[in-house]
Amino acid sequence: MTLQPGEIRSANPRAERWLYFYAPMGFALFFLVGPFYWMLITALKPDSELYDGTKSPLYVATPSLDHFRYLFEHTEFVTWTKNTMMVATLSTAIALALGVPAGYALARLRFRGADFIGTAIFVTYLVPTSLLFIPMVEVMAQIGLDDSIWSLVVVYPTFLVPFVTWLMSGYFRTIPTELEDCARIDGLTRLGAMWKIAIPLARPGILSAGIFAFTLSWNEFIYALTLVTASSERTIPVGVIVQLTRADFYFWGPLMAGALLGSVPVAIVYSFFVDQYASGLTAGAVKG
Amino acid sequence: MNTPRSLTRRSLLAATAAAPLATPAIAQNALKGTKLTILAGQWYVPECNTMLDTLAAEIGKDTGMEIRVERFAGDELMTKTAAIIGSGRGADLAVGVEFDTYVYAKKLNDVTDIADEAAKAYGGWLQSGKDASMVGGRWKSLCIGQAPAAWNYRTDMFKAAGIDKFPDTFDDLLKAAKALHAKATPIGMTLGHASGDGRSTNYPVLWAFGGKEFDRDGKVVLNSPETLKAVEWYKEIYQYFIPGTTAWLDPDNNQAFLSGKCSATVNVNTIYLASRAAAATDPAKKNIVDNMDHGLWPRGPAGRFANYNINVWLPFASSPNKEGQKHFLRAWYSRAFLPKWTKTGQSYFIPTFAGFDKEDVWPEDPKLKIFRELNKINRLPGYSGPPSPAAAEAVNKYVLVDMFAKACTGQLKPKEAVEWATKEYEQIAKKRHA
Repeated sequence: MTLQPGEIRSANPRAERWLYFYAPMGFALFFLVGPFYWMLITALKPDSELYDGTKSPLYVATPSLDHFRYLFEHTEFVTWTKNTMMVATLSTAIALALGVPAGYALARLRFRGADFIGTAIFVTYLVPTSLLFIPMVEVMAQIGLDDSIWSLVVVYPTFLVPFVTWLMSGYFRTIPTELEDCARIDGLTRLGAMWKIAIPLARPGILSAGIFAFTLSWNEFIYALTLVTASSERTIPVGVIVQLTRADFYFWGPLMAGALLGSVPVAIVYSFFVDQYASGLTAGAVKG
Repeated sequence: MNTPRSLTRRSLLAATAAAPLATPAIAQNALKGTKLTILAGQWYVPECNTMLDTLAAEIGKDTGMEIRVERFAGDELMTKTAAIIGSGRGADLAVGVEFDTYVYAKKLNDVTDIADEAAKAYGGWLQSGKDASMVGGRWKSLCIGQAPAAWNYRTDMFKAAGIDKFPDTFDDLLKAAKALHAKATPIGMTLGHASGDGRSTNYPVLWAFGGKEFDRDGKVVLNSPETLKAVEWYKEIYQYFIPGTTAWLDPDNNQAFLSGKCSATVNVNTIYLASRAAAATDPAKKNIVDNMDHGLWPRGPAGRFANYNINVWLPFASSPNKEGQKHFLRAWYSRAFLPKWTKTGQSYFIPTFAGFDKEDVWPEDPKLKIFRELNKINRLPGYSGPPSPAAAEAVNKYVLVDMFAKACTGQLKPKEAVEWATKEYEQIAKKRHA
């Protein structure tokens, strides 16, 4: 076999493949898939096997769907899923509707205090919810949304909009301004250039921001716990914990079944947009 | 066992019509059309939860008050309570822990009148009930009950290690731990940040050796030879524990015991109740039921002590329905309800009334008999000082648990661990007194 110019022959290509590809991939898979595998086998194990110290914890000997059945028949899991879907979808839509133009403005418009406002928006995102939840309960009560799932649709954008704005302002900076300048020379207004040139080019970034925003609101816990009281209006993270723990007893099987099924919609969202999500994340990574 | 069905509207009305804890008719009329939201936890015995729902529904029918019960898990309920206290919105009454009484006292209604009526009905409050609910001589909450934690142990494993009964002294417990470890059936005590087991496992050790966090005036006195002895004992016994106890949270000792890996641990009676409930269909659980029992805390140089989780009713001052609060609380402490609720709970939560010792509220199961004795020896964190926000903060920051854990794992020497914990306590006390 002849070597091509620039090609260096490996002494042991199979070993190298294992060392540089399969081993790191296996390591990454262990950490990424491991939790899901653990959730799955715990959800499939009957209680007698789950608490049997003599059985291996790594596989299921006698799989059973009892825990899934319990989840659907004895809890309000379907209602919580609908609630979570509604809250996550609406708050993500609001966050994108407000955050994308705000990000564009911070990236493109030159006005006094633009840098300060950009930093301030990001700092707002960093304020922990554990500091904000008590005043937020009071604010929601004052606007008549106490003990209502709609309070979450209003509150989640308070941390999603800064996040989307910050992410999108960074993304818009990676798009050459010359493209919009040309469009404006050809007669488009600033808004027209944003709508017809910048936003289509920023689609991967918008999708990334949307996926992150959706995931953040899907998993949010403290606001969902403190702003909503009625069981029928809870989201998955709160509902599962409340109905599947009793004092110091955790119903691990249904809990893991709920956690597994609860992560499926997010996984579906990721899988649909994985290509654009990846390109959104790496935008500007190779820009000189 | 009494079931929720035994609580009928008729029996409730009959009982609440007779003093004490009678409900004036005028108040009942005034409640029509009002609302009352109650937040409760998930008590382990499901029938106890159902009985609360039934009581609320009956009161609703009787008075025309719209009464709603919503449930949260224990730790989440504390967060929810903080939000209600901070915002003044969300609920009228909630199940809380004893710390809530003195941390939130200014934002709770005075319910001394109901406490006095209940005391008359049930032979007076135990000291732990008073400590849990009184601030400045007034009742700012009402103690629902305490959940006695006992030593849960496997009699078969103890016998195999040559031990016939549960040790009565800390020296004997150490010897037993060593023998059980040698037989590959180690014991385990929670040294992790478990909100329930963390305190019920570790405070009794400190007190039994004579150590204290505060003196009667509330001054920090943790750094003492007695505390050091307690830490040294813990460090020694730790080497015979099942691995992982420093990471144990509330459910972990249950799991270790139920899986047969752990021969003894400190817990409420939920391990036994869960095994008993599953014994008919699960041979492994039947084996546990047949071969486990409950033991008292061993006696230390300073005596025998225990520390339990306490639940109280928190009547929020922000509630617009104070009469509704009182009406519900009177019904809760009525003869028609409380003794039946207590018996249904199988000594999982026991109301803190002296007269209950003579009432028919105790489980017939011989393996649960010990809880009647355990009910009398509870001490609250901060003992021998008064219950205080400083003691509560130390519990919430797991200072005492971490003191033992740091010494056990070798992170600090026992003396250093005591000094570290003392500094933490002094900082908390300084902040609270400032």
